Amino acid sequence: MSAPGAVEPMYQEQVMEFPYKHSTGETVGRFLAGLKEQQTIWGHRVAGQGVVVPPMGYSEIDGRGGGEWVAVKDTGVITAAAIVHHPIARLHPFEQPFAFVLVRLDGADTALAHVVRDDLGKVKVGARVQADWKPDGERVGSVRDIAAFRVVG
Amino acid sequence: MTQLRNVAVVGFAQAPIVAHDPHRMANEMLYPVVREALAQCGVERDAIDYQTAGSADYIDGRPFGFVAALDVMGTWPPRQDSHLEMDAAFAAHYAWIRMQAGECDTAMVVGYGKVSEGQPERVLNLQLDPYYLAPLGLGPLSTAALQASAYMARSGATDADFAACAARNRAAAARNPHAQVRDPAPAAALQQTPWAVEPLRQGYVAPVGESAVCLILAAEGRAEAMCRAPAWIHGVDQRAELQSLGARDLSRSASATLAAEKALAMAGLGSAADVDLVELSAATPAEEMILRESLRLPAQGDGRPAINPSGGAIAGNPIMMTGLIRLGEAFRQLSGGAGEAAVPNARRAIAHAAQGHCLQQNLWFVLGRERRWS
Repeated sequence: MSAPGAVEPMYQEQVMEFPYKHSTGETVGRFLAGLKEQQTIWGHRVAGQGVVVPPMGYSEIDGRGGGEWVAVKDTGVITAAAIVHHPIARLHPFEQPFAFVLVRLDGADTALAHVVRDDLGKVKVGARVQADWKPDGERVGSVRDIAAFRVVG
Repeated sequence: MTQLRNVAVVGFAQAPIVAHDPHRMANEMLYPVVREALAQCGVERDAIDYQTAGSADYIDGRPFGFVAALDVMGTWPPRQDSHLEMDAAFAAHYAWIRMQAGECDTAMVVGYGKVSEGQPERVLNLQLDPYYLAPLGLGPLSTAALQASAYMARSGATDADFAACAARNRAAAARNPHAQVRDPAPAAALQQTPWAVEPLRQGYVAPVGESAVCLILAAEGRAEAMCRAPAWIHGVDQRAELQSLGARDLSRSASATLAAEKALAMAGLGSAADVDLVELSAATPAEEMILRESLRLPAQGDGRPAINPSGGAIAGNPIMMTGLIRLGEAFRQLSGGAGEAAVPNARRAIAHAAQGHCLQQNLWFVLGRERRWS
């Protein structure tokens, strides 16, 4: 029961929209260009942290910059997995159940966050995966130029 | 360490944690708890030197919403104020630092947020970087599930262990009138609940919750006049770590471990086992187990210290307030206000707050019924 004098709840709907166009900068830009143009996954070898994928342009561990770009493989191992059984519209990339995964790619020392679409029963820490790329002409310079990862063993 | 001032929690009030309060705006939820906390201390707001808030505009969908909350806290006479877009427990730490600097003797700390009016998974997706993580659609439940899977793989913890942890917290919450989830459930029943995001089940995480909280801090000399049994802060520390999820060992929390060591050392305690109760901002069983390890306590089970006598964040997790509520619960326990949830003879407590995805940033308070420095 409402308190005396209280009004019944009413609502005012509001949708806020603030579009942004973020520069991808030097480091992220080079990584994304590799996905778009060459189907290459670039890592950044930095002091104190090894080969960082995705790259930050510096060592997150000791802050030192520099380092060289190295290509890593598009195969790797799952280090963490979360299966989304009830995708959320306009947030999640798929309408059907899928998995978020962290993948340490072969040649990398850190893990890339990504998704797995199929064979969700095989998605577990330690499973090997391979990237499925979007076809030529559909890649735009986004982490989602890799359509998803597929469990291969 | 140079001479530190004794600072205590002297008042705490909170609105019940509810899934949705349809009758009140955020400011209206905040107003009564501000009045109640001041009344507990027997003062009006002109007795407060400094005020600070933890809230996030994205949560309320009211950009610069903290400006509207200022009038509830106090803007007249003109006063010292600040705002953190973090759990309000971090604002309490900030107030403690300002007291150590001698800039104020009393402080009001509030936290609020009407998370039910938006979509938290979408809103908190924006906490992640816009290039590598946000475009995938990750939200806090999904990142927490990633952390849970990493913890299970490293420790061997099972779904049944998570269920047991959730059941313990829910049993405790049944004794806490301020908790949101107050119906106890056996572990076996929780293990039958649907997946939230696997490996986390809906029974292991709190539903959406909103509240408003107000905590009053005072330094020695003022605290004794405002509270019969102040909860003195003996140690405090906070540490952050990498935002990159894939560059961290998600099965552990290095920042929680280091901050706990520093806070315990400041308190002059050898270990967390020297306190009577611990209140953790653990939103999932995996987070609780990781945080227990950070305190070098067994990852699971009952005993001393009591873990989450309030039921913890699994029984009520209002974003931006969960950590400050942990500090408030520690105050209730030490000052004799915990009612049925009281831990017998509680003399020392630990309160924890976290911020960011996967326990990225951690804050620990160690509190006691005795003054620490003199």
